[in-house]
Formats: sequence, structure tokens, C-alpha cells
Amino acid sequence: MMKKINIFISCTLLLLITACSEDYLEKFPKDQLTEATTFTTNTNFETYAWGLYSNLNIFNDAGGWGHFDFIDSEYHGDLLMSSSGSLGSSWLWQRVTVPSSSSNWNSPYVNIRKANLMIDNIDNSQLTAVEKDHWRSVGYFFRAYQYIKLISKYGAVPWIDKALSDGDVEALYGERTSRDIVAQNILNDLKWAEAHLNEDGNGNNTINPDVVRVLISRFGLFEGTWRKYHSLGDENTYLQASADASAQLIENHPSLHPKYDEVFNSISLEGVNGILLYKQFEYGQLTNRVSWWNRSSIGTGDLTKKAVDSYLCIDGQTRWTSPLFDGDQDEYDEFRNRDERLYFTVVPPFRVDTDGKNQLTWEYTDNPKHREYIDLMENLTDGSHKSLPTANWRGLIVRTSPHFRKFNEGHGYNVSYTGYRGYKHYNRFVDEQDADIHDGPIFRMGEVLVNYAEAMYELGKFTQNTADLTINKLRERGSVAPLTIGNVYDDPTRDTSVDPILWEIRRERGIELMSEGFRFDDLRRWKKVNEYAGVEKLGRYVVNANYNNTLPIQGGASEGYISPFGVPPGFLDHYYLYPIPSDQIVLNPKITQNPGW
Amino acid sequence: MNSKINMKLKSDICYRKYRFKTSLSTLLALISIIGINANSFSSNEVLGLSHFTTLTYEEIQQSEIKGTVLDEAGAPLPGCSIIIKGTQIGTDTDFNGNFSINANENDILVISYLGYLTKEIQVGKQTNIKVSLSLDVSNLDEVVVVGFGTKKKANVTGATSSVDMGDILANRPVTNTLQAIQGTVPGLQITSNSGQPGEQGLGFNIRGTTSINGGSPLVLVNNVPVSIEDVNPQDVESVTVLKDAAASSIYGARAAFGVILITTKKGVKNQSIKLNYSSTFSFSTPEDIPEKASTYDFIHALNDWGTNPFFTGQDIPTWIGFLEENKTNPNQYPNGYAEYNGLRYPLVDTDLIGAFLNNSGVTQIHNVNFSGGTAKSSYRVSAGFSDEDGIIVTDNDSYKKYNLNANLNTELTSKLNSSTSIFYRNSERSDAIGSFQDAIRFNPYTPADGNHVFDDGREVPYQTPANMERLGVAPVTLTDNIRLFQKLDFTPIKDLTITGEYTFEKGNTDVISGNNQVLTVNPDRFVINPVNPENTFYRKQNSKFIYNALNIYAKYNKSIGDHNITVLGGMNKENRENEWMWAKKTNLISVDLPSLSGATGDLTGDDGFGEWSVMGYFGRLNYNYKDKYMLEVNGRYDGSSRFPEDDRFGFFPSFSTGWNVTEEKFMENINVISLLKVRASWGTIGNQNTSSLYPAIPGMGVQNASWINPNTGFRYVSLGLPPLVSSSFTWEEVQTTNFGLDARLLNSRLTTSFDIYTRKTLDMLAPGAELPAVLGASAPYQNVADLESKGWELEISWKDKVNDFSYNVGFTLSDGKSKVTKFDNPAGLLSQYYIGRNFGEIWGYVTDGYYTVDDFVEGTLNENLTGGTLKDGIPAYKGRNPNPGDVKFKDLNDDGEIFSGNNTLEDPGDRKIIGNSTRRYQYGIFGNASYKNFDLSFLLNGVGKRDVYNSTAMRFPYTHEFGVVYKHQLDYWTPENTDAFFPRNYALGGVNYGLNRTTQTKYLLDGSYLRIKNITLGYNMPSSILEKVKIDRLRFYVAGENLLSFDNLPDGINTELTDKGDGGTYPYLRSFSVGLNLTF
Repeated sequence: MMKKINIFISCTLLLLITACSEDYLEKFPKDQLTEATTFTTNTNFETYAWGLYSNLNIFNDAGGWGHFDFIDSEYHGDLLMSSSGSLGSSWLWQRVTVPSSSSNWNSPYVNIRKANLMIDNIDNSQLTAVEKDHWRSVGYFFRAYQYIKLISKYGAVPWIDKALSDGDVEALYGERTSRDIVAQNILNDLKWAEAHLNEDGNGNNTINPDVVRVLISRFGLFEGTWRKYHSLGDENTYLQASADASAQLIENHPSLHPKYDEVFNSISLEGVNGILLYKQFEYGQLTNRVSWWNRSSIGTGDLTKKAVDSYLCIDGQTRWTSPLFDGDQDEYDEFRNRDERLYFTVVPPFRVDTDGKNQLTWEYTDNPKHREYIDLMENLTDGSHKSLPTANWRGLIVRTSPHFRKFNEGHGYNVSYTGYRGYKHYNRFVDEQDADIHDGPIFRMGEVLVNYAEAMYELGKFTQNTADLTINKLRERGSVAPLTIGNVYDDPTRDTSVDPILWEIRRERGIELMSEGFRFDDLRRWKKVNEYAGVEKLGRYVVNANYNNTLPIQGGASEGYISPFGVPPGFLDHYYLYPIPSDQIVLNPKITQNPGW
Repeated sequence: MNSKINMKLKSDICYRKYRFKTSLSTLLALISIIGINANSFSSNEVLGLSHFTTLTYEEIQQSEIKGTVLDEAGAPLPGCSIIIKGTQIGTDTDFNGNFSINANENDILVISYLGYLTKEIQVGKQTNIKVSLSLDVSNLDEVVVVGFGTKKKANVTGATSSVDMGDILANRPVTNTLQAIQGTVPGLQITSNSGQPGEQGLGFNIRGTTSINGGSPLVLVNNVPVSIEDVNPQDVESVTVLKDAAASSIYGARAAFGVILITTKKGVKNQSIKLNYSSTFSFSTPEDIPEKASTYDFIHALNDWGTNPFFTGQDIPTWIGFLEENKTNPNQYPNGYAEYNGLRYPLVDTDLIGAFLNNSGVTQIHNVNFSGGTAKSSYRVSAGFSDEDGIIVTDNDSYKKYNLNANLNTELTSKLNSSTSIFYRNSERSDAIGSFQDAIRFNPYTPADGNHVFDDGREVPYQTPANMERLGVAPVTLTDNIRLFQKLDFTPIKDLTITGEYTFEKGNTDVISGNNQVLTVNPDRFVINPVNPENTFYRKQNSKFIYNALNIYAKYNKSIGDHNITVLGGMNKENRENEWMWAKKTNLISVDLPSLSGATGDLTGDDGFGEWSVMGYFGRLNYNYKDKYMLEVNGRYDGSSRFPEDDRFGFFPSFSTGWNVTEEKFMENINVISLLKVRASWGTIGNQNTSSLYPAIPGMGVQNASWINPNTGFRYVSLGLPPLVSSSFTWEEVQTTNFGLDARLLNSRLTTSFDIYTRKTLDMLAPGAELPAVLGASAPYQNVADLESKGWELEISWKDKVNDFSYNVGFTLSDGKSKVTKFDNPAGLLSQYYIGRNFGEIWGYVTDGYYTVDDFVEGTLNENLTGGTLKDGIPAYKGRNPNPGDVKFKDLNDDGEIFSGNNTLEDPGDRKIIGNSTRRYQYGIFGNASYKNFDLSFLLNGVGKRDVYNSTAMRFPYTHEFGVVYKHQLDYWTPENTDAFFPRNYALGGVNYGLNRTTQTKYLLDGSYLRIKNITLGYNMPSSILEKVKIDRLRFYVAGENLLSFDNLPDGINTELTDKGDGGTYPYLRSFSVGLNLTF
């Protein structure tokens, strides 16, 4: 018996030892795919490509607490300033230094790699020729989208058109590709994509030829005017591409959604006229925070006096020239008879009674003046959109506008420095933090129209017909009289180096695209940053005694225009291109720093 | 002599109760397995020299022997074990120390008792024997556990430290074994993330920085890898820490950074059943709580810094007016606040922290075990229960743990021995939801508790941490772990043992959380917080693992004359599979009955998998000559599933040697030295710790795109970017060189041990040289980095007895530092490792006081002391306009401005290395003393040198708009207080305040400390009383844990916590306990 056990055990042990095959150490992840298993079928390409869509950001607040990538840059321009913080714009106050590392440089290249990986794997896949063209086009689109960010900030950047490995020394340690080539590559890729994409993309709200055209429209105008005003030459190639793409889009999408506000504040943008691609947000799935922050103490930017002044009166005249303008010393007067888009962009003046408390309900004050714009907004919009009084994120009633950070009358939310609290991205669909569900328009016809107008002007082809196709449609949406060439009033604040027609085109662009992240880049491509923005940013007219003498007034006067931070030292010439992060130069000495840094 | 003893049984057993202070039970288990004969104990190498003998039965004339066992003072020792040597026949002494046993005159009685030297008495003609046992202070024969066996401590050649749990645990109210041994093992660093009951985040490492990829010691219980959490300290007999490669290399792949070997208590054969019960109750309070500045001081500070109005709307000057009025006439505002313009202006301080932590924490620990043995089997079964409730109001911060541990050791045949262990743990951890962070961060006047009463009479609770704790849903973590262990020892021929060990472990963890959207009032603004039933949810997460391990090894030992040889060879395989999934559903039908099925909203979920395995072949050769010269050679050939097929295996050898000087002739007459041994070792081990389980596979993880499918309303599923993977990478190699010295002096009363080591972690997996960002991915990992740690460890202990007073004192001290010796960073980027970089180094500016009014051109400063122009030659931070009161930094590179350069070694700007956060000179002091029926033990630990930089709210006042000010932060700069400790602050904590807080010399903190971890005082009931109630032993004790600490850190930053952060972590607890031990 004992012997049997012993033999049995010995055999078992022997068996166990010999059974240790190498397979024991062969482990593969169960929840991950590889390149080889992914890029096979059309469906798999589609699955991978949704990851590329993730990089189409709007309402993105990745810049940190209270910062929105898409609005922040405008604080360095002339029309907006931050509604919180304690210092003025770093660009205008000359605080920009060479960063040791920067996501402005790094993250586009990560996204370019994502696109390149897909492009690289097309040839060896099981796709049909048509499918191959389609996915290559999608890859080109997303890659160009990233290069546009890079070229805009840095100018010349290394052009990488495949997913590199660490062994691709030549590409990794190469020089910056000239701006000419990068720009040309972007345009070529986009044009190729425009020609080869499936007409209906991959279904609703996906990349299709029209979406590519908007990007061409945007990039062509940017690059064309940059080249013109920075004297790089060859501007017409880009301007013409922009104009052509825009013209095609205008033909395809002749009508605009009639309500300006609903372009930015709608639960769903599906099927809305003039919306070419939007980011959908759904409660509990994917939400944004732009309305919440708009309704907090931090805010999403104040408009400056200059910005508000740029809105025309309904007769199509400037506030300086129109007989309908009632003056700017009284806030109610200032807002009367103006472009309706102003009422959807800046909180109009009002005052309500909340019994001196922070509460959810309100009543009219005894003074009928205080309800002028409450009533007006009731006519312009419905309650779920922008009605007055405004409310903070949890629904507490804001008692008055203008509502100053330095004199908040007992409630610290929805405050402003200038008295012109921007609220373009404000709605009351959700009274919660961090749970906004209104869709974000990524590409819309409003932009295409102003792109087209400007490109056509720069090409010397701007006519009354162009004006009617573009600016006048937008003016109509703001209930402003149309622009008639030959009958253009002269804005006394016009920059004399800019033709009156171009001035009106640029005005329209500034108004239509306010708070959407274009302005700083517009000033940069026009080479007007210091001239327009390197000056004292002003707020509305106030009598300081009414505010317990807490507001900073221009020149320290007792009444006048608010000046939150005074006169900035200004935008330096070498600031037009961003500094290349120092780590990239240290790692690859062939990367040269932009001049002046 | 062997042949003279007649035996009754075919196989014999030697039993020496508690002869060896350390690791007795494992020793016994092994001894019983091998079938060691009685005589083997006379040789020194317990395992190596045992003989297997087949004995024959012979009838001998027996007579009854009576006797008494006394201690040195002449007091009877009840419960002593009396065994006839070479047999399993034995008895115990009664309450008067008396025993009786049948023996013949050739028999030898082995008399042993815990903590006393065992005595052997030849029966001879005696019929009434009186024996006096003396206290064991020598420990010369102490046996320690080493890899796959035990060894006489005197013969150990690697760097090891052992701790006898009985010496240091002293019934401390701790439920974690690591906490229990903290400070007692030099070179073992134990840190923790929070003081919360059931805190799992204990960090521990041996000899400091291991690898840039991390790596922690392997914890083994009776040769089985376990989670330290599974070990009930009450079941632990001893802990041995293997520190150098030579000592730990036999364990291979997962032992690169040392091994912690835990030996549990076991039953012994031929012992009548012993029942033991112990119990502890303790009460705990928070140790280190920051104190907020008063409302009065806080509002004045805001005013000084220009913050107006406050974010909740109040006008600060108005507020100050009310505060001043209230100061002169407190009766004016009986409600504690003024009301103006519809706003409350709170005037009195509340105790938000107090309301949140109003619960004195209660911990109870109960342990019961029984053990015993028959002729062929021994067993021990223990059950432990602990229930810790933390200091937070309610018992949400609680941890309950049930342990069951059963060991059975049976001799199946004379050649086959079996050990079976069953282990089970069940724990339930509940986490606080009211945030400690909020409690310390909310304003000093914020209502602490209770309800807000609206004008219409409606009452709604304030959203304070205390209320949230009461009203919210605390997440609960339920864990079940079961482990089965079976070991067979087979001894086919003399001197050869073949052992097979198999472990199966299965663990299951559920985390259940939810949100009930309770209606509350914001305590700063007195408005209702929005709630939305759609946001109520129930979430259940399940994770489980299955672990299998198999060890098969054979050991052969042989003595030829004075040459003793032991050879060990074997293989090991381990495999672990993890799996997790969670599901969440929103919109509960009833918040009181949360479940997935009882919810109507969106159902979301995810899952994940992971698996790894390792296998290795190992061999060891031990040789010693006359116990004088010792040599050990280890080799291990390891493979890991983490590496690509062609680079999967590595061979790792190690060598160690020792010279026992005391065995030399010339030492014979030097009586003051009872042991002097020098040791040297060199060895390598492979480290397979990688950041991912499949680092060789460029996997594309499944993830949700940030893009919604318009047809479903859900996010599209997509795939992530695959990482770059180097075509070949393999094991990191940990190479340790160790020199050690062990000595026992003064009649073995003084024991000391010193080790000095260099540990090189070679070919660490690191990103190759940082690559330009145009790559769009991180550089692939390669075996390209090296680091080197150097350090030393010292242990000293003293043990003595003076009449009734016996005591021992231990002291440990260790130091170590690590630096990078190879790293591919030719650019010298400071954001990366670079050659010569010391771990923990802190780069910062050198503070040069504050800017003063005199630094500015006269007349340029405005009335607020801002907007000035600096005089020529006074440097400012690039792009910044300093004001008086801002911190001035030294212009180290003399370029006229302060900047961070391009963040490289070559150009760090005006920064330099200003400190190091490594814990240096870690020490522990501990001891026991007993006098008659009283005993006392203590444990102190500390760190001798450490720098800490903290720029958060714990350190600086009012760092942002919603910030707070603590009492110790009131000495801040104002135009009238220019000598202040803290720099100038601004409205909303803005302008230059961030720069003023940047890492610099002035605000570097001294992180050194000394803590009194534990003091315990115990009392043993006299046996004269116990005898009447048939109890062997009854001891009562009181203990204090974390009693006092001496440090230089501001309140709220605990010295021991790893992450200081902003102090918002659960505080360390100080506790007082009472307890009892009962044996019968």
C-alpha cells in the first residue's frame, strides 16, 4: 500500500515537472485588438475612425478650470476679455515665455499619428477601391484638421505623413517643413478628400464632401490672408480655394436656420439648416460644461466696449452714425434698436426684484424701465432659450444687468468686469453642474458666409450679389437693414488702412462669430493684433458713485468707461508665431525657434 | 547515543516547545515531515543534518516520575511541556508547576516553556524531579526561515532581518501585519495614504527606490504569495525580511525587491488542546487636524488681500464692520450673523471639523484559536474578527474583517507527510462620503450641521460633510478570499526530501455604490442644491481573480566529516487571472431600494481582463565546514509571460559566503563575544514588473469615442492608438552586493547586526531616449536605464534580566539613497530622469526675501503698491511685474532676470537642487520589560532627514478664490507687516501669488519626525488566583497607539502620510485600547 502511494506520487511529480511547457507563458490580452486584426473590413475602419471624431472639439474645457480652448484665445483679441482672473491677457501684457513643453505642439501630432495609422493600413486591407478612397479621404481630413492648428500657431512644422516608428530617424529628427509645403499639402489633401469621400459620408452627422469644403473654406481664407498680410505671396491659390468651396456650400445650403440663438443653444442640431457637422451631447453619456460655466462666477468672457459698439443699429448704420442710437451713458438706451444678435450675445440690461435674496423666483420692479428688455426677449425667443432675467447654474435669479464683479449686489455669480457679460453659450436646459446637453455646432454656414465674403473681397470679386448671398443674409437674421454697395456709411472708428467695404465684411465676421474662437486668429492673419487689441480694453459707461466707487474707471475718473486692467504694454511683433516649446529644440536641434523668441 | 535510546514507534518526533523563538512552527512542520531523529538537534544545522532512522519497538520497564517546574525566582511554571525525548509521550505542568509521567530510567525528559531555556533531564533513579528553568536570553540557536526552508541564524549568509511577532506586537490594536512591524526591521519602509480603517494603500519597500517601474517586495505566508491584507497579525509567529539578492533570489521573478516571509503559528503534536482568546477594545481620535483661522481673522485677511466682494456675495468692508460690532457687543447678533441687503454675514465660528469627526472611533478585535496535536497530527484553527469604526460621524468609515485560518499537519506514512491549510477572509469596508477635504476647506463660519429653516418653515439639511455622511450612500467594498494550500513531503530515502506545494486562491471583490440625490441646502449661500432623480444610480462592480501556484522541489543533505552539504533543486509555476466588470443604471425607482433591476434609466457597463504567469527552475547549494565557513550558491532560470517569446527567459545567479569567527580556535577564550560572523553576498534577480501585463503586444484598447451615434444616443465604440513596442526587451536585473556583520556580545545580551549594500537595478525598462513629439507617441520601452541604491542598516538589541526584572530593547537604523546611473536623456531634460539624478531631488529657486518699496523707482508705485517699475539691476521673473511683498528669487545665472530656462540640466534657469524628499535615516526603537506580573512594551519610529515641498492650501493661506486660511497662516505680508513669513497675497489668490508659492528654499519643510507609535502596559493575573478557575493564563493590558509625534510640519500634514497634498486625506488616528488574553 505504502509503496503504491509512493510510486503514484513520484509519477505525478515527474509528470508535473515535464508538463511545464512554454505555452504556459504565452498570454494575450482578451480585450485588445492589434493593427493586424483591426484594419481589415469596412466596419472595422469605421469603428477605428470614430476615435478620430473624438478630436473634433467644441465646447471643450480641457484648458483647465474655467478655461475653454475655443473661447480663451479670444481674450487676447479686441472684442473679448476674461470675465474672471486677476490679470489681463498674457499676450497683450507680454507675459508669454517659451514653454518647456506644450500640448499645442504635442497633441496635434498624436492625432496626426491616429490618422496616419489608418491611412497606412488602407492598402493592405480587404476594402474595395471605393472604400479605400473613402477612408483615405477621412484620414486626410482629420490629419489636415490637425495641421491647420499647427500651421496657424507655428508656421512651418515638420510634415509627417505616416505613423512613424522610433527607428524613423530621418523623419523624427528632420527640419521644419516650410510653411509653403505644409500649406500646399493641407490644401491638396483636403481637395483630394473632397473629390473622393462618399457623398453621404458614413451617415448622419459624419464627414462628407461638404464638411471637407467648410474646412477648405476656413483654411483657405486663413492661409490666403495670412500670406497676403504677412507678405508671403501666393495668397490667391488659397483664397480661390476658399471661395470655391464656399460657393459650392452656399449652393448646397441656401437657407439658414432663422434663429441665431438656436444655432448654439439647442438640445439637438439634427437636421437644422446651415449646420454641417455638430457634436452631439446626451445626458449621462457625453456632456459639456459651457453653459454651466457661463452661469457661474467664472463666466465665458465679457465683451468689450469696442465689441458692443461694433453691432449695428437696425437701420444698418453704426451706432456713431445712426439716428436710432440713443446714447451709451444709459445702459437701456445703449441696447435699443440694435442688431438682434447683440441680445443673444450680451446680457441686455434689466433689473428685477428678488426681495434682496438669492432665490429661484422674481418679480418686476416698480420701475417700468427695468423690464424693457425682459419684454423684448419674450418676443424674440421662448422661455427655454434666452429669457430675462438670467439665472445662475442652479437657477438662482440674477437680479440685474449689468452685473459687476466688483459690485455684485450680494450675488457673486454671472458677474462681469466690463458690464457686458457674454452669454452666447447660455441656456437653461439643465440646472446642474457639469451636465450641459446642448449640441455644439462644429461647422456651420454662418462661418462659410463670412469666409466667402472676405475671400471674394480679397480676390477683388466682391459684388452686391456676393453681399446679398452672405452678409445680408446674416444681417437679416439680426433684423438689420442690408448692406448696399455704393451706399456704405463711413464708420468713424474705421481703421483707415482698411477699405470701408472690407471693414463692413470684417465687422460682420466679428459679430457673427463672436465667442467662437476666431477673433485672435483673425487679428493675427490681418496682422492687426497690437493695433486693435494692444490698447486699453474698456467696459460700459458708469457713474462710479452709483457703485459705491468700487469700479475702476478709465483715467481714474469718477464717471466714464470702465477699464479693468488699464493700458497693456502691447502685443510684440514676434508674438505672431507661437514659441516652439524648448524641449522639442533640445531633442532635435534641427528645429529652429521662431524669430524673436 | 542514538542507539542507546529505545523507541516505541517506527518514526519518531522531536518536540521542543518554543525552543526557538523564531519560526518554531514551520521548523516543527518540517521536522515532522522529514522524520528527523532526536539526535539531530545536537548538530547545528537542523535541517541539513537530520537523519531518518527506522527504529524498533522494545519493551522497557517504566515507573511513575513526579516533578515540579519552577522559574528562576522559584515560582511554579504552569503549562510547561514535559516530553520524553525521542517519543511523543508527554504531559504539561499544572497550576503549581507539578507533573507526573511514566518513564524508565534511560529516558530523558525535555522540559520547555515559552521564553525559557529548554532543559533535558536524565531520569535515572529519580522519582521526584525538581527543575528550574532559566529565562532564555541567548538565542544562539535561533532558527530563521529562509527560502524554501529554515536555517540556523548563525549560519545565514544573506542579508535578512527577523522579527518575532510576540516581541513587538504586544497585542497592539492593529489589524494589518505591516503596521505591526513598522519600525522594527531596518531597511523596510512602510508608508500609508490615509488613516482610514481598512486602508489598503499601505506602501512598503525594502531598501528604498526599487525601479523606475516600481516593484514591491513579495509577501509569502508559509511559502505562498499572499496579499498582506489577508494576514491576521494575531496568527503570525514571525516575520523574516530577505533583503539582498542572495537571500531572496531563490524566489525568482517576483522577489527582485526583497521578500517578506511570514510564518504563522501552528499546532504541535502530542499536545493537549489549548484554547486561547484575546480581545481588544480601542477608542481613537484624529491625530493631526488643521485649525482654521477664525471668521474674524479670515475676513480681515481677505480684506488685506483686496478680495472684495466675497464669492458668496458679501461686501468685505461691510462684513468687517459687523465683525467689529460683534466683537464689542456680542449680544447684538444673537443668531450669530448679521443680515444686510438680503445676505447673511456670519460672525461666529463653527466647528465643522468637529461636527464631522464627532465620533470617537471604536475598534474591537477578537481572536480565538485552539491548537493541539495527537501522535501523528497537529492542528491549529484560529478565527479573528475585527471591527474598526473610524472617527467620522456615522459608521460609514468602517472596516470589518473575518479571518479563518486552519492548519492540519498529518503524517500519512513514515515517508509521507501532509500539510493542509485553509484560509478564508471576508471583509466589508465602507467608505466615508462626506469629504474630509470639505470639512477642512469650508469657511470657518459655515454651518457645521443641522438644517436650514426657510421663511415658510420648511427645513432642509445643510450640505455639510457631517450631513452628507448621514444622508448619502456610502460605497461598500465586500471582499472574499479563499486559499487552499496542500503540501506533501516525501522522503524516499535517507537525506532526500521531495516536496510538492500547491496553492489555489480565489478572490472576489464587489464594490457597491450609488447616489440618492438627497435634497440639501448650500451652507454658504443658503439656497437649495439642485437634485435630479435622473442622476440617482446604483452601480455594482465585481472583480475576481484566480491564482494557482505549484512548487516542486527536492532537498538532499549530507554530512561527510566536517563538511556539510545541502542541495536544493526545483521548479515553480504561478498563474493569475483577473477579471472585472461593472454595471450602472440610473434613475432609481426608489432610492431606499437601490438595484439594477429597480432602475429605469440608462444601463452602462464595461469589463476587463488580465492574466500573467511566471515559471522558473531553481537550485541552491549550501556548504559549510564545521559551521565556520559557509557558502551558498543560488541559481534561478526564470520566464515571464510579460516578455516576448525570444527574450522570455533569464538566468540569475547569486552567491553568498560567511565566516563564523567565533568558531575559530583563537576566539575560544574571548568570552565576551559569543558570536562574530562576517558575511558577503553578490547576486542578481530578474524583475518582471512592467506597467502593463502585455507590454510586448501593441494592443488597441476598446474605448468609447467622444462622439455619439445619432441613431442610438450612445457613444460609439472605438479603438485606441496602439503603443509603440520595442522588438526586444526583457528582464530588468537587480544586482545586490551586500556586506554584513553579526555579533553577540556580553553573554549574548547584546546582539547587533550591520549591513552595507549597493543595489543596482540594471536594464530597467524605460522609454528609450525621449523622442521628438512629431512621433505622436511615447518612445517604446527598452532595457535602457540603470539605477543604483546605496545604503546601510543597523540593528542593535539588548536583552537582560535582573532578578524579577527582565527586559529587552531594540534599535534599528537605516539609510539609503538612489540615483540614476544610466538613462537615455542626452538633452538633459529635467522633466525626465537623467544620469546622476538622485531620487527625490527637489528643484527650486533660492528665496532672497521680498521685494520692498525701495526696490522700485520712486513714485512709480501706485497707492495699492502695484504697477511700479523696478530699479535697474533688480531682477524680476520673466514676463512678470513684481510688487512689494512678492517673493524675490536669487538670480543664480546672473542674466538679470528670473526664469526656468529651457528646463534642462544645462539651463535650469535660476533653479537648483534645494532638497530631497527621500526618507533618510529611518529608525525604530522598541522594547519590552516585565517585572513580576507587569509588563511594558513600547515602539517609536521616525525619520532623521527629509525635505518636503508643499504649495497647497495646507501650507499657504488662501490659494484661490474658494480658499481657506488656517490658524498657522496668519503671519502674511502687508505693507505694515513686511517681515511676515508668508508672502503678499492678492484678490482671489491671483496676480503673482502662484509665483510666490513656487518651489523655493524658504518654504521648504523639514519632514523629519519621531513618533511614539505604541506603549502597552500589561498585567498577568497571579496563577494562585487563576488556578481556582482553571485558567492557565489571564492578562489585561492597556495600550496607546500613535501617542505623540515630534515634527516640524504644519498642522494637518501628517508626517507619515505619503501624499501630503492639501491635507484632505483621512487623518491618522491616535487610539487607546484595553484588552485581555486568556489561555486555558
